[in-house]
Order: sequence, then structure tokens, then C-alpha cells
Amino acid sequence: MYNRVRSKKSTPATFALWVVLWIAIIFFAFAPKISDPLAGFFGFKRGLDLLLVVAIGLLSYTCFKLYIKIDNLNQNMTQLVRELAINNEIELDDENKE
Amino acid sequence: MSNLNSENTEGIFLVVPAYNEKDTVSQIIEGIAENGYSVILVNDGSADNTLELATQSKRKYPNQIFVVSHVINRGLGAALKTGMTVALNKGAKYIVTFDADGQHEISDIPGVCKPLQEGKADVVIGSRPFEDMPISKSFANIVMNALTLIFYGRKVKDSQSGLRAFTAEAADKINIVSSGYGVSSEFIKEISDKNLRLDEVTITTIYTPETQHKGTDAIVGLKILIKMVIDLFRI
Repeated sequence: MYNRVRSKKSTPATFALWVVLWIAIIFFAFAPKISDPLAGFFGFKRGLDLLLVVAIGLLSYTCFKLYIKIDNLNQNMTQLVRELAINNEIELDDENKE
Repeated sequence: MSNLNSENTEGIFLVVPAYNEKDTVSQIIEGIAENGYSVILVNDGSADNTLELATQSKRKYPNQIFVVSHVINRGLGAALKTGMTVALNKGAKYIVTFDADGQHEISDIPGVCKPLQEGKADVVIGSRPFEDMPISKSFANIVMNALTLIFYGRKVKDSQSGLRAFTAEAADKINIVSSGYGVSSEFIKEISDKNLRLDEVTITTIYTPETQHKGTDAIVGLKILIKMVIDLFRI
């Protein structure tokens, strides 16, 4: 991740988000009790339950976002292939020159 | 083969998508050209020599056969859209989609074009009688028809038929997004959404071992169903 930021493939904001996320995960892994009051607020008994639900939600969201992204990429690629095909209709003269 | 005069075939462009159809492509497109129609052959990134064979056919009918080629395979829907775009650019009055695997009869073309020429319909679907189909195919097609009715609210005899005819205006209105076999159902959706007049004409279907392994079977049907559900959530 750090290398991606250095090579400007990711923004510092994305980097910061990942760092915060991982620190939070490690923190709650070692001190699960601390998350209990927060869990209670959302109606869960244990902090771990809240964490799991949030994780599943985030994963589902990421999957859906990726699906849409790939679908759009696919459509863009088809459009590109189509434009190429239309602009390069097979001409017999071209064949003879080759 | 039907004998047609040039008045009946004028402005009719056949769009033939082909993916690895070396055994049938020459015979199909030359047969169509021989009957006086114009053909747009869309080679959809075939790995075999479909493109070379089509180019050879073009030498025989240079003014009637037009060949375009996708550099990579993009699926039936994508190939049909490319072909229809080319046909519209060439000033087609009527566009007929025709499979390259040899399952359609050239003699059915006048039949599907007739309602368009008479101004009775904007789109015609050539429906295959189910009793002629092998059981696995007819079952898959019945299920697909039911799904098309549930999802797109349109009852058709054969939603998955590859032989369809459009007026240029209708073809221009129809916007196809599906790239694979789901395109057949998407055509019905577009016909419904754009309020186009639809007619159905019974056609002959030839089921050979070559045509058996393509088209709608249970797995393709399932994929189309998943696609239909996902499309419902598309923003």
C-alpha cells in the first residue's frame, strides 16, 4: 500500500483509511471488551458480533461495487471493439495490397 | 430457395454474427447474397478461419457481402449490435438477424420481412415450433419464455429465436446492453419499453449436431436468469 502511494497509484487519503482500518481491527482483536458498549448501542451483545456484521456489510458492498465496475469495463471494452470493427471494415483492396 | 425479384430484397440487410463457424459461414452468407440480399457478417473474434472464409465469400459478392470483425470475442449481443449499426450506416431499410450455424432457412426471410414491408409491424420474431425441437431445448425455451413474460411483461411464442426482423427506425430505437445470449430476452424488453409493434411468424428450424451444442440450454438459461435479476437492480 505504501509503495502504491509512493508511486502515486493511490491517494494519501486511501492510505490513511486502510491504516486506520487495520489499526482498529488489531485494536479490537486484542481488546474486544472495549467495543462492547458500542455494540450495545447498536443492539449487539458482543463487540465481535458488531464487527462481523460490519465486515460482512463492507464486503458485500465492495463485491457489488466491483461487479458494477467490471460490468462497466466490459461495456467500455465492447464499445471499443465495436468502434475498431466498424472503422476497419474488411476491404478487398486492402487484402490485395498485402 | 425462393426466387425473389430485386424489389422484394431491396434495402434488406441480414446481420449474421459468427463465432467459430468455419463449417457453415461461407454457405450461409453466399446463399443469402445469391438470393439478392445484403449481408453484414460480424466475425466475433473467432479462433478458426471464419474471417478468411467470409473474406473469400466477399470476393464472390463484393457489393452484397460486408465483413466486419471484432478483434476479441465479445458475445452474441455485442456482435448483433455491431452488425445492426453497420447495416444502419449503410442505409438499410429492414434489418434481419440470422444465425450463422445453419439453423435458419433462407426461404424464411421474405416471411419475416413481409409484415414490416406492409407496415403492419416494427419488429418480427421468427418463432420456431417447439414440437420440432429436441426435448431439452424445448424445455429450456419454454422456461425462458415464462421468464421473459415475468420480467418484461411480454408474452411471445419464442423469445430465444435468432431470426428477427426490424425496420430501420425500430433498430435505431433498440438499445442492447447484454453481450451474450441474454440479448434475445433483452430484445423483447426493448420492444416492450419502446412500444414497438411486434409480430410473430412461424419459421422452420433445422436442428443438426452442430446447432445442438449452441443456443439456450439449461446452463445458458440459468445465466440469463441471473443476468435478468441483476439488470433489475441496475441504476
